[in-house]
Amino acid sequence: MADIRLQNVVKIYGVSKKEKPRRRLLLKEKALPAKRAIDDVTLAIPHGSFTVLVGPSGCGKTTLLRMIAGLEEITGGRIMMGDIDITNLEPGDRGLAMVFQNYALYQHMTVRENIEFGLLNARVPRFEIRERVDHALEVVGLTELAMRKPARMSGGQRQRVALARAIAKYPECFLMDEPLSNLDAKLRSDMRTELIQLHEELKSTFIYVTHDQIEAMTMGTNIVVMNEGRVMQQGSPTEIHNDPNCVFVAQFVGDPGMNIVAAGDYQVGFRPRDVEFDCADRDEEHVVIRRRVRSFENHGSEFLYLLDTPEKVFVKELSKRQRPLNEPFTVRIHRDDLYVFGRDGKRIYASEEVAKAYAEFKRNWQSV
Amino acid sequence: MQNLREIGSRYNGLQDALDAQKAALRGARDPQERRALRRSAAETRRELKRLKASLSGEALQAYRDYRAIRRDIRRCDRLKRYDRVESRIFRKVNPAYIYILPAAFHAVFFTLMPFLFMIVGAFFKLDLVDIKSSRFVGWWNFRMVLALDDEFWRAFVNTIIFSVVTVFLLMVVTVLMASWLSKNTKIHNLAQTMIFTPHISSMVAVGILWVLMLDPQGIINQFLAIFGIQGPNWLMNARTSLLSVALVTVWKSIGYYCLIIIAGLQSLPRDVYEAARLDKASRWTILRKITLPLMTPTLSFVFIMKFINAFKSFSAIDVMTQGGPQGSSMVLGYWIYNAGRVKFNYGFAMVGAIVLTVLVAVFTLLANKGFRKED
Repeated sequence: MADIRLQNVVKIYGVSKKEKPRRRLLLKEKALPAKRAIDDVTLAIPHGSFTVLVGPSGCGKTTLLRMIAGLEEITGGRIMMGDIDITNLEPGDRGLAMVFQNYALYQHMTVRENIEFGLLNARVPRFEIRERVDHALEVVGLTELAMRKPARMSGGQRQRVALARAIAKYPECFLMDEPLSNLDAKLRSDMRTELIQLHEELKSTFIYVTHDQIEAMTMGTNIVVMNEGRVMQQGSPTEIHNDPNCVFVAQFVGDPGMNIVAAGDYQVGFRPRDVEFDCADRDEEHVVIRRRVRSFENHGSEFLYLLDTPEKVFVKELSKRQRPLNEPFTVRIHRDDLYVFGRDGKRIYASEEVAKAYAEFKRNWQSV
Repeated sequence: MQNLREIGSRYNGLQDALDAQKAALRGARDPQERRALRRSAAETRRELKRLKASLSGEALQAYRDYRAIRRDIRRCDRLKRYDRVESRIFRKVNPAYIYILPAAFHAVFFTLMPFLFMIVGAFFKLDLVDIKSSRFVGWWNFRMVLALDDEFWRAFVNTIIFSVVTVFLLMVVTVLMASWLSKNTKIHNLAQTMIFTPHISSMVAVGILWVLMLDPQGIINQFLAIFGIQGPNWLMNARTSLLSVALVTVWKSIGYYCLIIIAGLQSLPRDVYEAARLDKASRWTILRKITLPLMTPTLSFVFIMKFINAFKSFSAIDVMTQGGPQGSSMVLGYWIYNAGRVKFNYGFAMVGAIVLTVLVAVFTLLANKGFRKED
C-alpha cells in the first residue's frame, strides 16, 4: 500500500528553493559549516504502522515531520508516498492530516466549522461533509459540543477537536507533533490509550513525534530514534530496547537508560533491571559486583539505586524494602545481558571481540 | 589574621559609640549637655581617623571592608524602614487610586468640566469677554441652529460623507498594504518607515504641501495632462473639494493605521496558518476565513478610531479649503470653530458641539454592538 519513503532527505536552514541554481556553490563554500537540521535521512514508514519519531530536543524530529507535511522546504532528497513523489506537492494535496502541539484550532469557528473547513476547501459534497463530521465527532466523543467554540473548552477537549479535524479528512497518514505535551499527566495517559485504540480502528499510518521515550515505547509499533538530524535506529519497541545498535539508543531508551562503562578499547553496557541481587557465586558466565548505595529513588514497587562507582551505574530492584544507604551489597550480571560497543559508540557483534570486551570488563569490575 | 579581626572590632566599637553619641545628641535639650556631647562625638571621630591613619596595606583594606559591611547593614536597615512605611500607607489606601490620580485630574478638568460647561452654555447667549452680560435664552440656540441654519445641516451631511469616504478608503488601503508589508525584510521595513512618515509630520505642513500639489497648475494636474486628462480645480471646485481633503486625510493616516494592523497581523498564531495550508485553503480563502475573522478586534478598533477622528477633523479643512467653496467642504468641526471663534456665537458653537458629541456616541455604540454580534 502507500508506504512513505524518505530518500536522502536533507534540510539546511538558510537555503531556500529560489536559490537552487546557486545551491551547489553554497554547499561547497558557505553551507558546509552550517548545521544540517536533517542530515541525509533515508527511511521507510510502512503503511498502517504507528511510527514514532523520538529523540532529544533539537534532533530534527519535528523538522522531519513538517517536511513530510510540506510545511518545511526540502533542501535535498525526495519523499515518496507509494509510487507518487510528493516532494513538491502543496501540503493540502498530500492526503495528510496533522495534529499540532498547540492544537492550531480556528478560534473564531465552532467545533463543527473547524472540522468542516478542510472538507469545504477540498470540495467535498455537503451531505458527505455532514456524515464525515458526525463520524469524526462520534469517534472522539464530542457530539454534544459541536456548536461550541474552542475558547470555551478544556485542553483535553481541544485536543479531541484537533483529532476530529484530522479524522474527518480520511487521510492516508496522520502526522502528530507532540500532541500530548500540553496536557496534564492523567489526561495524557488517557489520551495515549485512546490514540492506540484510534490507530487500531482506523488502520491508517500514524507518524508521531515525541521526546518522551516512554510515550514512544508504549504507543509505537515502529520506532525511529533520531539524534542530531540522523536516524540512529529503526525498529519495533522490543528491538529498540533489547537490541540497540549504538550507545546513544541504548542510553536514550529505558528508564533510566543503559549503564555504559568503559572496558579497555570497548564500552560495555547493561540494563539496570538485568541484574540479580545478593548473589555472590562466581563462575565463568557471570560478573559479580560488590558496591555501596550512594543514593536511591523510590518508584513505589521498585527501587532505583545509584552505586558507588566512578562511572554512573544504576540498578533497579523489584522490592518493597529499601536497602540502607552506604551499605555494600552484591549484584550479579549475566554475560548474555551485556552489550558491547566500540569506542565510536557502534554496537559490536563479532564474538571474539565480544569475548575480549567481556574479559576486560570482568577484570575491571569483578569484586568478589 | 587575629590583628585584622581586632581592627574590625575596634572600628565597630568606635562607630557604635559614635552612633550612641549622635542619638543622645538628638535627645538632649540642655545646651551645656549638648556641647559636651558634641565634643565627645568629635573626639570619637578623631579617634577613627587616627585608627585609619595608623593602618596600611592589608590592614587598611580590612578597615575599608569592615566599613563597607557596616554601611551595607545600615543601608538595609534604612530600606526596611522605608518598606514598613510603604506597606503601612498602601494597606490603608488602595494604590490604584494613586495611579489614576493624574488621569483623573486630566479627565475632570479638561474633559468633564468643559463638557458640562458646553451643555450649560448651549442654553445661554454667551459673551466670553464679559461673562456677566451673558443671558439665558432657553432653547433659542437649538432652534436657530437645528431648525433655521441650512449651513449647519450641510456641514452635518458633509461630515458623514467625509467620514464614510475616508474610513472606507482607509480600511481597504490599510488592510491590503498591511498584509503586503507584514514581513520582516529590509525592503518591507523601509516601506513601513516611508508610509509612516506622513503621520509624524503636522497636518498643517501636509495640508500646505497638498494645496500646492492640487493647484490647477500643480504637479497632479500636470501629471494628468500627460495622459490628456484635464484635471479639475481640485480644492476650488464645489464638487471635488470635500473628496480632495478626504484623500489627503487618508494619505496622512495610512501609516499609523497600517502599523496597528501590521502589529495585529504579526501577533496571529503561525500554526493556525499551517493548519489552514494542510486544510487546502487557498490564499483568498485564508484571507477571508482566517485572517479577517482573527483580526476583528484590531480592525474594529481601527474602524472606530478612524471614524471618530474623521468626525472631528478640522485642521485639514482649515488649511486647505476653510469650508469653501460655498460650504461644499464644511464639516461639523470647522462649522463649530467658525461659529465660535469667527462669528463669536458661542451658544451656536456649543449646540454644534453637542450634536457632534451625540453623533460620535451613537456611532460608537452602534459600531461596538455590530462588532460584538460578529464575535
